Amino acid sequence: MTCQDVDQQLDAYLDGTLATEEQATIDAHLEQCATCREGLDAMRRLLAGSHALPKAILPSRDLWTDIAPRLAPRARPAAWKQWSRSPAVLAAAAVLLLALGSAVGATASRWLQSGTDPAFAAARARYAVASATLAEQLATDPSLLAITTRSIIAQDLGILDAAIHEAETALAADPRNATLEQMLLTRERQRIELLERALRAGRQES
Amino acid sequence: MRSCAALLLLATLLMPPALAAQDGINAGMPASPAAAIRIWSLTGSIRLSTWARDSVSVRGRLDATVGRFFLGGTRDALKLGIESAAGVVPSGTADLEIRVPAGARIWVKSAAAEIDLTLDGGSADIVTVGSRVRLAGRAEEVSVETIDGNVELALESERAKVRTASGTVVTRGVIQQLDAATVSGPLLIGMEGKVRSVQLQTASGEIAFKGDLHPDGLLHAETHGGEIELRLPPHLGARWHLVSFGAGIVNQLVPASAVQAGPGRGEWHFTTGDGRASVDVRTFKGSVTLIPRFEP
Repeated sequence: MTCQDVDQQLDAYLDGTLATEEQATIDAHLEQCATCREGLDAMRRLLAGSHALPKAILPSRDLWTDIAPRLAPRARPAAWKQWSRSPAVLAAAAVLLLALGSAVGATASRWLQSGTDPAFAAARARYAVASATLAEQLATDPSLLAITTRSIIAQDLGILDAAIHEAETALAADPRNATLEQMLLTRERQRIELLERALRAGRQES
Repeated sequence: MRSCAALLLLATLLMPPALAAQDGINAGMPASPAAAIRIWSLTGSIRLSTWARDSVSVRGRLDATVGRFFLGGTRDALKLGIESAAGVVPSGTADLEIRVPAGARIWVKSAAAEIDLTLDGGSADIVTVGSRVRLAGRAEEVSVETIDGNVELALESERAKVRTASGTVVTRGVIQQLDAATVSGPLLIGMEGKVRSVQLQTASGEIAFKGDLHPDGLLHAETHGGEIELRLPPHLGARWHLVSFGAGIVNQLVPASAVQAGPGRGEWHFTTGDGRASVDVRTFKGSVTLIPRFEP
C-alpha cells in the first residue's frame, strides 16, 4: 500500500467505515510511515476544529458588487508563457513546489478559523492535507521531474492558486453561497489531480 | 577503377553518422483478438493501427542511444517498446509502426513521443508527459492523461476521458460520455450526433462546445476564468442553470421570454421545451455565450 492509497482512504479510515482487513492494512502502513501519520494527525486536528465551529452563520447577501473590483485583473497567458521560460522562473519553479506543502496547510487553518460551513471546511481541510502530502512527495526528489515539466506544473498550480484565492475572497463576502463553494472545491480537486499526474509523469521521466 | 574507388570513399565519408547508429525493427508475434497490449516508448513516435489478423506486427527504427527494442508476453497479454538502460536518460529517437488485432486493449506510456492511434474497436489508455496525442476511428473506451500535450480525438466511442494541464483538447465525432478537463488549456469540443453526457472543466482555459444532446442528456461546463461558448440546437428541451458571477450571459439561443434570472446574483435558472435534458454551466469571471447550432 502506498501513501497515495492511504490518502484516498483516509476519510473512510477516520469514519471507521473500512472493512477490518483494510483498516489493518492502513494501520500497518501508518506504523511504518511518519509522513502518513503526520497527515492523519493533521486531519484529526482539523476535523476536531471543524466540529467546534458554530452551526448557524448569518449569510450576508448581495455583496458581489463589492467583491468584483477587489479581484486582480485577469492574467495574460501569452505574456506569462514568455516570462516563464526565463531561467530564473525555471529555477524558482522547484522552490515553488516546495513551498506549496506549507501553503495549503496554512490555507486550511485559515478556513477553519473563518466561521464557514463545517462540512465545507472539513472538505477543504481534507483537500489541503492531500495537496500537502502530494506536494511534499514531489518536492522530496528534485530530480523526479524534468525542469521544463516542473515549470509547467508550477505555472498551472499558480493559476489554480489564483483561482482559489479569488473564490475565497468572493466567499468571504458571500458566505454559504453553495455555487461558490462547489467551484472552490472543484479547483481544490483539480490541484490534487494535477499533483497526482505530476507524480505519475515524474515516474516516467525519471 | 581508381575514380570508382574514390567515389565510394567519398560516399562513405559523406554518409551521416546517425544512419550508421540506427537499428531497424521488424518483429511480430501471435495475439488474441482482445489481447492486452502494453507499449512503452519515451521519445520519437508511435503509430498504431488495427488489422483483421490475430497477431501484432512492429516495424520501425531507433537510435542505438535510445535503448533496446523488446516484444514479448503471451497471446493474451503482450508488451513491447523501447527499454532504456537503468538510470540513463535516453537521447535520440525511436519510431514505431504497430499493427494490432482490431479488438485489442491498448495501453501506452510515454514521455514525449508523438502518439497516433487509429482504432477499430477495443480500448486505449494513454499516459504521457508532453506527447501530442491523436486518437481516431472507433473505440469502446479511451483515456488520455498528459501534462502539457495536445490531445485530438476524432472518434466514435462510448466513453472518453481526457486530462491535460496546459495542452489543448480538440474532439470531433461522437463520444457518448465525454469527461475532459484542463487547467489552462482550451477545450474545443465538437460532436456530430446526440450525446448522453458531456463534462467539461478548466481553471482558465476557454470552453467551446458544439453539438446536440440526447433527450435526457447532460452537459456540464465549469471554469473559473475561461469563456464558455455553447452552440446547441435552438429547440433543445432542457433545464438550464447558468452562472457567471463576473461577466454575464450573451444569449442568442433561448427566447428572452423563457430566461429567468436568479435565484442568486449572476445566476439564471429556467426550462425550455420538455425540460428533460440538463445544461449546467458555471464560470466565475468569464462570460457564457449561447448560440444556435443549425443542422448542416
